[in-house]
Amino acid sequence: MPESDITILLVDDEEMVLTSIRSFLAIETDYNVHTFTSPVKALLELERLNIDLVISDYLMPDMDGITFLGKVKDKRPQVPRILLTGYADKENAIKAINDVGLYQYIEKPWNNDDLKLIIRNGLEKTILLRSLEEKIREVERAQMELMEVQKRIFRIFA
Amino acid sequence: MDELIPQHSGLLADFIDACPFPLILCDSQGKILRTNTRLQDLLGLLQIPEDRPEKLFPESCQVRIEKTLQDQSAAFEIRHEVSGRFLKLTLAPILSRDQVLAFFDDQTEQEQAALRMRSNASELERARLQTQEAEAQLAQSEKMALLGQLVAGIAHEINTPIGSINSNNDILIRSVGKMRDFLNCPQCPAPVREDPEVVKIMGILEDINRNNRIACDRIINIIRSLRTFARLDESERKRVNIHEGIDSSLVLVHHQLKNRVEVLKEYGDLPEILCFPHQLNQVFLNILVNAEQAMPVKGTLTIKTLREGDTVLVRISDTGVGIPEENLKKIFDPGFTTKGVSVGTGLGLSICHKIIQDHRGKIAVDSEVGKGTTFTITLPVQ
Repeated sequence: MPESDITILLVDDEEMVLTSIRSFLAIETDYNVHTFTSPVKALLELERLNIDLVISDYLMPDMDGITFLGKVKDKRPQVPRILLTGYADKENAIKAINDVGLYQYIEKPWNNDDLKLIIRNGLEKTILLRSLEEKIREVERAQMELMEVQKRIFRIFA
Repeated sequence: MDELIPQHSGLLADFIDACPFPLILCDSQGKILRTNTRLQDLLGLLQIPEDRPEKLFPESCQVRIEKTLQDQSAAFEIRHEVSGRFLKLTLAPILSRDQVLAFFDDQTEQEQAALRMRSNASELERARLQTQEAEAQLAQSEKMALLGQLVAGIAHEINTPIGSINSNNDILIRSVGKMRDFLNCPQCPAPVREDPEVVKIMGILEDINRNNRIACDRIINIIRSLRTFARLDESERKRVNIHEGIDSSLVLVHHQLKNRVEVLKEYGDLPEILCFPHQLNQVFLNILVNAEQAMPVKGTLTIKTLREGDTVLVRISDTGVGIPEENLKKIFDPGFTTKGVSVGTGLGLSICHKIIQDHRGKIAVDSEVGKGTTFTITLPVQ
């Protein structure tokens, strides 16, 4: 799956963080990145967009990152969710990670290489799941065709 | 007893009997010749020895009686051992008869009152000192807690912008690297690659990016140390590696040490210990600051850690001015300082002492004037 087919949703109330990560991903990858300063708006967009991975800040004014990622899980359970946290809320974040079932958390200030690796690994999981679903669908289709052929054969010999 | 008093002494006997003060008449050897009922009342149930007052009173009485006969009257205080009474004894010689009258004044109550007052006063003083100490420690720990919150808050606030700057710097490094790759590739026209302005700008960009990376790393390191130092998210007992705490405290005094004090770390293999990390960090910082102040010109700071059975040992040594022996004993006392009002509160080490005590540990100091000072902290692993 080419990187240009991948869409990432990035949420942080700080515009500067969005700019930094968006710029980094733009220079190093071909991912499509959608950024939001409000998790509430991001949730609305989630309905429209076909998202492959979500990254969210923890402390935000209108909704905290854990709640946001929990809602993302409800809507798109297959999409890997990554939490970006400051050190001060690390312990709460770790507790929440277990509740919401996050793929990873990244500590601020983050390292770009680590970020890229975590995103890539997270996507690999989705891609694998997606291709598994694809394979299952293919198998189902083949089975249907097979049954169709079988019916025709029955008709011929009936 | 009447027969003991020679003739013509009826008047004296009457006087003794009638005297409203406890009284003894004795001869020059201290043999009791006559007592009055007041004395018997005074000494209560005690049996008064019939013969010699030294049985009633200490040996020295005899000497005094003899002395009184030579030098006239004398007064002294004695404790009657059997009854525990505290008596003031006034001896009056009757020279013509070679006898001595001993007047007793019972001062037991006064003595006890005075004793009680003295002990009350010293208890009061002790309580006052304790209150003063507690107040000072409370004020100090409130101050530290406030400072910790402030530090943690600032660290948290700086985190996002520095995270962003750090990432942007990384992006710049990558971008300039890509530009450099483009300039070096064969498709790039030589005049562009070799243009002096391009060469100069590329050089500057690479230099400042490298510079910014170092600067960012240093800021991130300081923030990390501040957070480790404050550890406000960890108000409960925690299992930590105390090397982290020592290192974070070292970062905080780094600006005072650099170019002047060499820091030697001899860290042993330590288990994590159960403690209040921010409190211990306060102790480390305090001792490090003291060490720094003890080495105004140049010096070496050695931090050695090792495990000893179920305890962990931290030894912080400086090669500073040292502490005179008379001050060494008072060094952990609250309010003791040699630094003057503007420098020290005199509370630092007393609080360190209390924190280490609360951790069931020990803090000891060893110093030699002109050679340096070593603080040894022993902490239980559990």
